[in-house]
Amino acid sequence: MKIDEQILPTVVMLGDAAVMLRWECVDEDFPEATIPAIRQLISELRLRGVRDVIPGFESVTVCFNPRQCRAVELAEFLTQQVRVWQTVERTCGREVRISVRFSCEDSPDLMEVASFAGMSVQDCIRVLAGCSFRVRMIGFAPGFPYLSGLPECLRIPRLATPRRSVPAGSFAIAAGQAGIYPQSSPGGWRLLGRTEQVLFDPCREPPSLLQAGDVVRIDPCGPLVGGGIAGAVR
Amino acid sequence: MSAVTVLRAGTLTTVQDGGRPGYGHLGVSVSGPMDPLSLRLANLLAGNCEDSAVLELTLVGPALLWHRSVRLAVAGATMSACIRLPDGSEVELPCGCPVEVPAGSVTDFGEAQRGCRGYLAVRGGFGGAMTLGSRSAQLRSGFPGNCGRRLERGDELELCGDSEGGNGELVVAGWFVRLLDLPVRGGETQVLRCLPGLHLTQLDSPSMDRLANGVFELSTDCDRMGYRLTGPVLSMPTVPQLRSEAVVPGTLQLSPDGRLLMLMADCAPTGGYPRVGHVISADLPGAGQLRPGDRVRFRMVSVEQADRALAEQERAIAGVRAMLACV
Repeated sequence: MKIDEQILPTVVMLGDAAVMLRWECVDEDFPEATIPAIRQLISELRLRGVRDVIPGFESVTVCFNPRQCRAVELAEFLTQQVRVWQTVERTCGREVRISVRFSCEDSPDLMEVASFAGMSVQDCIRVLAGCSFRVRMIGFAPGFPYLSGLPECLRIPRLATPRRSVPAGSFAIAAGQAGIYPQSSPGGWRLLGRTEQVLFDPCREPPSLLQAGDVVRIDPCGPLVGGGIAGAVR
Repeated sequence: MSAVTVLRAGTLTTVQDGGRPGYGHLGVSVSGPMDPLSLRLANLLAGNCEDSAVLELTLVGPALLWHRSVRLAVAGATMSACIRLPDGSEVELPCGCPVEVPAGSVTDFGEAQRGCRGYLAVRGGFGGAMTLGSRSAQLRSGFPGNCGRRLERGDELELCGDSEGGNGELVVAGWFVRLLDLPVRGGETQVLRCLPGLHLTQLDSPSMDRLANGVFELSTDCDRMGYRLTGPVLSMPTVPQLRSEAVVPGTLQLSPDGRLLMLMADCAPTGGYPRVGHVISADLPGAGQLRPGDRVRFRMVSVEQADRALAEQERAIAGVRAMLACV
């Protein structure tokens, strides 16, 4: 994750109980594994009073008990650490393969997305299977991964009207991002397929299948992959 | 046999303890009490660790039948409440002091007169399922286990340990402690002190004025996740297009319709709206005592003022601890 030490984060206070380190230039010259790696490093310090270390696309936020540590000191310390950390090359994350089923029931928006991209349903699935997605953060719901790495041709906006209920395990895209709904919930992303894998189980260690920094690859299965009825759908 | 039977559940009664920190990076809310100061006070009075599991009562409390003698304490909102003893007699259940209640008694909570949320602690703490290290109910995710819901009539509750409180006689302490100035319904506008949010300066100047001087009201769209406020509409000349990043309880978000959204205990750990301010930690307990229709104003303060306010609150809690060591 080696980056220039000149690129330092700005420190933003989220009230008196959280400090956010925010990089302004993430998209240009900032390797996408950097923030997850820095999050991990801060978390491993096990600083007194620190409750949560939360990654964002361009930020890491440290939430703390204001009775046990002070924002100003913590911010100063973290800024110094980060200056050192970000000049050292590190790897972060594992590769996780997720089996996604593409079928008429599981893929209600696949046809529209394929035609938006000007390709066949089969080609669209092939493109998705070739993607190497990076988990940038987990949010929205326990275990919901925000994935980058979607090709530009699949940059389709959110649904104008969100669905009242998206089935658990739905693999979805919107606005240049991909994600997987861990639990049934309302949602405005385009549903392309569905996985049986459990994204979040509080009784499992770790509870979330994915963490920021992981690389996700899709293994397609189901009737819309390859031959079968795909020809008819096309 | 269980320790407690729920005879009537009340408006929204949930189990809450110190909350579920440490999983925010996996999308898990911290949860815990809406008014953390009153949870701590109730626990101290009951003789517990400050973060033990208690019942959080909302607006109208429950009726509970105790199958064993216990030591209780209620803090937070003042709710009309009574104890019906096994012999049929009835006494008032006071707020802010320890009470020993004989087995077979019913504690019956009515409506909150001041404030919105009462905290009922019992010596030893409430038991039940834990998820990710906490018993706090998080209704949206269904934590913990299958008990992650509000109490319902007929529920049987467990206590931690086998501690019998008291000797089976009713004992009410002759003193009480109160730490919070609770809002009176329809009373004065509450002042919440804030630190500036990252996007505060992107408000246009009339909106800055409205935020500093305007009176906002809690709409009916308020729950443990957050409060939607009505009142002055705020606008930004160019609304920043943000990707989700961390938010915390107390964060004031500006929703696309120009209304403020104040995040509370069950808020998701990330959000994508501009952040204009953050209510300071010392004022979150008071904010947790607000109900729909209550009016608030925001006053920007410095980090030093926020630290001082919190230190003052900690001194008050330390005072209670010291006093309890003497009684």
